[in-house]
Amino acid sequence: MRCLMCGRNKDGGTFRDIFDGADPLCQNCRRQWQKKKIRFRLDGIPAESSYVYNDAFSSCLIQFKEQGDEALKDVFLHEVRDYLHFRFHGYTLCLMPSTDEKYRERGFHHLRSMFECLKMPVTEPFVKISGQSQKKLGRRERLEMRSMIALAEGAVLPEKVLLCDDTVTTGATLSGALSVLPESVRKVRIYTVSANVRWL
Amino acid sequence: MQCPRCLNTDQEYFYRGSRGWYCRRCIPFGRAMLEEEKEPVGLAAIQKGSGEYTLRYPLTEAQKTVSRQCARLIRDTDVLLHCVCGSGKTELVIESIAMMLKEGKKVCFAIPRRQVVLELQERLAGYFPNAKVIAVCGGHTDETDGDLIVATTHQLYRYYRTFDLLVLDEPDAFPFRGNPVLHGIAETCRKGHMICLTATPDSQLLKKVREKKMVSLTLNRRPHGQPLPVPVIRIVPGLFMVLPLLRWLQKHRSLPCMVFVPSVRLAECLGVFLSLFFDCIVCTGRTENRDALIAAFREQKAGVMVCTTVMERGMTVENVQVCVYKADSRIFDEAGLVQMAGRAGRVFAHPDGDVLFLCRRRSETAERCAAVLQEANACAV
Repeated sequence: MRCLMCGRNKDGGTFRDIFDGADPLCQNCRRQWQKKKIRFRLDGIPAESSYVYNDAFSSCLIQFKEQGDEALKDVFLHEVRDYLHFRFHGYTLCLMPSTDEKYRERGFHHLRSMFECLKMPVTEPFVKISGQSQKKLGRRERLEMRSMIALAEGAVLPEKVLLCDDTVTTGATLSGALSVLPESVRKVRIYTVSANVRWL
Repeated sequence: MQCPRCLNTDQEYFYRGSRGWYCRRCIPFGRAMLEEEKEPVGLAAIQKGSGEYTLRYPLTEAQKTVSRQCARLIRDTDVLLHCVCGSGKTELVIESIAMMLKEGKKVCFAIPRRQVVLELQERLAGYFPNAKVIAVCGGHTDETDGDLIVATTHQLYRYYRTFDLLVLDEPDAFPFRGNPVLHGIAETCRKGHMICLTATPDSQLLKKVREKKMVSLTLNRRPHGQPLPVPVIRIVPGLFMVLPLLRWLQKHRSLPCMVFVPSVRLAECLGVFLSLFFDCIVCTGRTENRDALIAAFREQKAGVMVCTTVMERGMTVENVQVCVYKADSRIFDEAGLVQMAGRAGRVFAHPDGDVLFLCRRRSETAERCAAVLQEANACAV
């Protein structure tokens, strides 16, 4: 089997691979990801991340999202999927939205395929209105964009909800989603796969 | 299955996504779907009169012969121009390019390194005053269509089956060398023939010549007619290696000197040490303002530049003397050493130069490099 990032042959594997299923990345690539349980609060809601958003993680995420490399979908949650399954038992995953244009351009739903491997119930109650990409915006502009997220018509949310995203930089998207959550939701938690350094 | 863009046939690299099969080997260039038919990019027609050119100085007789031969051969076959460093390889293909442009055909000049692209774009724009010569490389990708396109080999993925002539400069340079993805992309971006320009063809190119897929033209003499500087090899124990280096630099105190070292770390250390005695610049892959440093080095007409292999190609400094420190290191290969030695004596006013290889032990690559240069000199008559 080849490592999905560097393409080198991945012989042997580790002891853990026997019980945990083979890691699609080789140890070398995996080591460049900085695994760290990051806990913080976003608008008073407890949030958790598993990785530091460093160069290795961001290049992998860009290859997955922007270049459309769907083969990488299981790479991100491979190490933490069991943990997440137990930690957030009973929650419904609630994925952050992208614009329709983005979906069409990519041809697949990147968060949906990323969180698929958890085998937990998933909903997508939000829609994103603006087409502007956040990448080039500053913090203040991003926070103003909060209003760009709305609840889809006729969306029904369960009582326990886990807001999921791939990465958190300023928290604008997530706090936008928090602000439109209906009253019926009793318990909210946030999980992002990676977090920018400023949340450390 | 074969990737239409990088010509990959390894099954392990193909993956079936929600839209169908795609190739993962060339994924950094965007997703190439296997089943979807790829359309050649529509580029604008070439302006009239863009084929007219003026060279800065006339070609020598030897250059003219090769240039004409190349223009004749390129209609039917791929050509390898195997010419020594500093023999004016760029000028040799101008005639072929002009011929293609006159016929309204698209030509691309591809180079592995970004830095050289910008330099060459200016030079070619000078040669072809009526043509729109554009540079396409990292940071210059807003405009991708012109009469003559100068691009890094990484940017060729933008042009699927577009060029009638692809001129590939230094195909044995990093990162093009040994990179199957870039090789594949260079194959698929053209529908016509290819000219490879190099002083040190690798085994793949030579194999193509042997199989008669390519015709090799050689030019072993620089325009000024003087022989190439042949390196002097000195074997010195590693600990004392700085001593002959210091003496050598002292000897050439009034001239610009380049010292090539195998690693960035060593370059930095040596740079600090040498700056005690000389006016010293360090230039490595990690240096950010490389262009400015090189320009300053050209200006000051003396001083020492300590550099790694990033500087081994495509650089002309007037009257430069070259030393390779630890020339027996595994980092340097024969092609690299030939290129480094080829930095010296490139200008008409100063057709010779001093080249010194300092080795810790006897090194086959250094000896072969000297032999290659001597052979080229012998053939040049």
